[in-house]
Amino acid sequence: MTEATNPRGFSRRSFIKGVAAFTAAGALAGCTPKDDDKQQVDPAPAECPDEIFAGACRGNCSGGCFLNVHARDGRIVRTSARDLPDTRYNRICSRGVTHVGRIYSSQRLQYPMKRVGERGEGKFERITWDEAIDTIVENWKAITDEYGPTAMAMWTQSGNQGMTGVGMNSYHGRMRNVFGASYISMNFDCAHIGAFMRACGTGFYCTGNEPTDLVNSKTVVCWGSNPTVSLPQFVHFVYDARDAGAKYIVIDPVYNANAAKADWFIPINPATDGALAMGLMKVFFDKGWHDEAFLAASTEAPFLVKKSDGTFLRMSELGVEPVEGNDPVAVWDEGAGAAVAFGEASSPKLDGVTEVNGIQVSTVLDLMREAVSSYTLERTSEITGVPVKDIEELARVYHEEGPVYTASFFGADHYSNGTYNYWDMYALLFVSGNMGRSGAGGMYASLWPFHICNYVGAMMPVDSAGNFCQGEGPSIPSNVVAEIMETGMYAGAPQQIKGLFIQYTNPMAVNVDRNYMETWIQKVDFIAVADLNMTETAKYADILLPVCHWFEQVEVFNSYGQAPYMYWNDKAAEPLYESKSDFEILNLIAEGLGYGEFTCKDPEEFFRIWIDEDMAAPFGFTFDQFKESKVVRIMPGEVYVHAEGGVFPTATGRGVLYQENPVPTYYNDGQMDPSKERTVYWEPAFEADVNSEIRAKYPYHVISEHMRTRTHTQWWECDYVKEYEPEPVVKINPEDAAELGIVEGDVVKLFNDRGEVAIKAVINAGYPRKVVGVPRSFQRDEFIEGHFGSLSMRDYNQYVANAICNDCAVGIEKM
Amino acid sequence: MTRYGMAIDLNRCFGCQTCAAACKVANNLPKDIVYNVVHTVGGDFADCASGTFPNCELGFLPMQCQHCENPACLDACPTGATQKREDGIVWVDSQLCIGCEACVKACPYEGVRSLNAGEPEYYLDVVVGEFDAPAHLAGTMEKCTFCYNLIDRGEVPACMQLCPGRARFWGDLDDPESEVSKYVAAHADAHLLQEEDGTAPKIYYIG
Repeated sequence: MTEATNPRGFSRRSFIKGVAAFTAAGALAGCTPKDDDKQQVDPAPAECPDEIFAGACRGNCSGGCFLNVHARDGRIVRTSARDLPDTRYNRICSRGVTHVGRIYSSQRLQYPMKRVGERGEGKFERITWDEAIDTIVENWKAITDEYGPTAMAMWTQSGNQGMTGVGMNSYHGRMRNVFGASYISMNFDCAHIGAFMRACGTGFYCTGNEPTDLVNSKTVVCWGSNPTVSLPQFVHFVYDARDAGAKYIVIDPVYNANAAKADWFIPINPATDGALAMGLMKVFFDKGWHDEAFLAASTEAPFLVKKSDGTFLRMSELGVEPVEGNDPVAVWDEGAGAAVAFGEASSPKLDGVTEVNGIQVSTVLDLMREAVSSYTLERTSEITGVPVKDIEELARVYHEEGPVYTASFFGADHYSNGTYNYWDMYALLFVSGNMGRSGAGGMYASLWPFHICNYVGAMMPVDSAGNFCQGEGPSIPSNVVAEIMETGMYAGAPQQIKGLFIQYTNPMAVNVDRNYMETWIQKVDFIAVADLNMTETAKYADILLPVCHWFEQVEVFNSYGQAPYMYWNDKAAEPLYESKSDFEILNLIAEGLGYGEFTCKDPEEFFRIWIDEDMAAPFGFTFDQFKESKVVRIMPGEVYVHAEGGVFPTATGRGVLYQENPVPTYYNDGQMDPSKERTVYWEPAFEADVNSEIRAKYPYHVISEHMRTRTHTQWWECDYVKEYEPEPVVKINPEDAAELGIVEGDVVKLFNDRGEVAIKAVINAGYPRKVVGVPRSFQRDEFIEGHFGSLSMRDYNQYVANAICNDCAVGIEKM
Repeated sequence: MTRYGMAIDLNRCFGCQTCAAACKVANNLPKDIVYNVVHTVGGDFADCASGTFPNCELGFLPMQCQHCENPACLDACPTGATQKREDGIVWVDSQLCIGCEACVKACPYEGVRSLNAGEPEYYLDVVVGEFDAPAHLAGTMEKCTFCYNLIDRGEVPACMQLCPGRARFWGDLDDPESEVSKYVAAHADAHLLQEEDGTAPKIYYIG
């Protein structure tokens, strides 16, 4: 037990201290009689010297875990799950328990640096903070002076979902408003999010009932999600429901750890989920199973639509003057035998209304019935690969075995037709009456706590004269930046992108169409990056700033997790090396740019502005009580049910099944066919669809899988978890592998017109023929050659700006 | 008498490796030392299924020292390094261990021990984990300790601190009111691995 036993120089002191305590525990180190217990003396339990802090794990995996951060001698040594008020929500995973591997990684950035090699090469020279901030401010000012504030773009995503990070209405958003900078948006997950916001309205738990409600479900359908990998904290609620008697059904293209636990696994062709929903709705209509009471009272299904132009029939067209600008949509009231404002009908007619006062009309429900009419059992089966009898049985389950909780996240989102997949699935839940009550609902559950947020105070600070800050510039999709740089125009207006400030994201590794990014990022005049470690994107920085770890700063976490709580995150240790928090970095830049009066002096000042105590009052806490207890519940009731009683947070208070004037969510130069966006509709995905033309050239559809051990690319630098997922692989069906002459461990090339990557192949019978899977969170240096991110396309659906990383066809060759 | 044991419900284990990673950090384990890991049952590669799509097999098996009542390793150990505590925990005194691997040969369970062949190498340049984590000495054999350092001060083993699937149950098998006893009693299919080898292991598996 000498110093020689410790190979690690600078930690020797605490190592020896640990060994001494170990030996002092006596009986543990040799006093226990070998064969005779009688003489054993119980060892006195050693007193643990660790101090325990509260921490929030917040990298946007949608878990949101409340942790104990164990610190000793000023250093963080372990992380464990911390009790939540309802311990069923206690949560941690392989990432949460290995934070030390991130904090003390050799890849951690230690001091500010300036680039001395090529962008992307990773050659840097140490500089001082003063030089780093001065250089950023100088460039920022020069760009702003010449091209206006929006020529500086702040590029961010989700690498720190705290209030001062990039949680909902965060300090980063506030400073974008202060700086007037534009924002580069990668538009991940927007198809599903857009669909639920249209269909159900934006609830503060989105569309979900809280997970403790799952035990009230008779059936749980997991459709378009693999929570065993991407939402591990959700899984036990499903198993609890199963133990309470619920049947668990999984609809997925892949047989994975989630499917393996299902009572019924329904394999489906990738990106055909919307077609299945269409086919199921047709069964409902054909059999008269649709929930007429729910559709009439809680959705827009009885709303009347004019055949002439597809807009709603409004009461003003029937001679009823609008009151205070309110011109309600008409429905046919059978009781009154007349068209009345939708809220006033005692018995709104759902179908068969064809004419009102000489105006040709349809109900929304009749338009839906027409839209699904071609989705016969046979055609639906042909598209989806789901046998006819299984479609019939699934329809019966949604009809008879409710309440049905439908769990989904983004599995059907990352395709050109993602918006239709989800819009149609929501419509099915309305048609089957599986929304707005205990045991039902579901789909997208995530905490969006706008209901306790002082938005204006947090996001739009005023100067000393009381004037609001200038407000942020446009949100620019990352897939048009090269064109903007070339033309100086965006959305019909002058726009430049001359500088980037990148925080909380690693776009070079995670974004779609990497080769496209490479072409334009090399032409940007100035790039500053702030990060915890030397990511792939950090290597592109002209000025690179070291950011401290989450537990080296105070923070509040309350958004985009699935537990119904807000957490306090203590500063458990001092920032390592010369690192600073993103909050401090933004303030330093603000001071340099002359915007100091819009900053908060410390994070707590911002928290106190952000949390509106009047709005928080119904939840029974003040800011100080929250700070003291470190955790408060911020959802109403004991078990929250979204849209309980069938009242939705939409403009009409009803579930939405029709858009009269669909407007694209991004600038697509008027290239939109509105007929696809009005009511339920489905079309095949660009490349994932097995019949798409491209598949003749590139026969394989590649799904980018989430990883158990990384959140996006976070934890790439944590060696502990590399024991479980050490390198990128492509998972191939055994018959496909045999056809390609590939055996496990062979190096193969995946390629298409956009790019290529060389990685090892492994055999996975859980993948169907002609579909392969690649864990997505690896960085350039981890691939044998090329980059996985170079394979995906940057195109969007006509209506919604949405990254379609899984809509990707490739060829595969053994190397 | 206290007799520590575990139950692991394979119907609830979905292979997340939280228990394995928690063990690794709490015990300040070197790179190549594994006390506890979750194996895939199915394909050859982690998380991959076997069979013919869609009729596949994919399951998980968390494995660690079974802390047998009659440990085969105990008698096989030539130096007395392998010992059994009164509470049934089987442990290796690294001061006495010579790394001869006799315990590996005697143990009916594969892959539950790691040898510190040379000086241990660590992922990090700092010491992490519990202050009284086991010493890791060159030329010694290591295995799961049931985190006796933690349980002796009233805490639970690192792998038990929180299982996301709520698949793991811990406690005194001699106490019918313990979590583990109650879970085993409630599940008729609770079974031990390789019971026929006669070592009387104390980790029950369900499913």
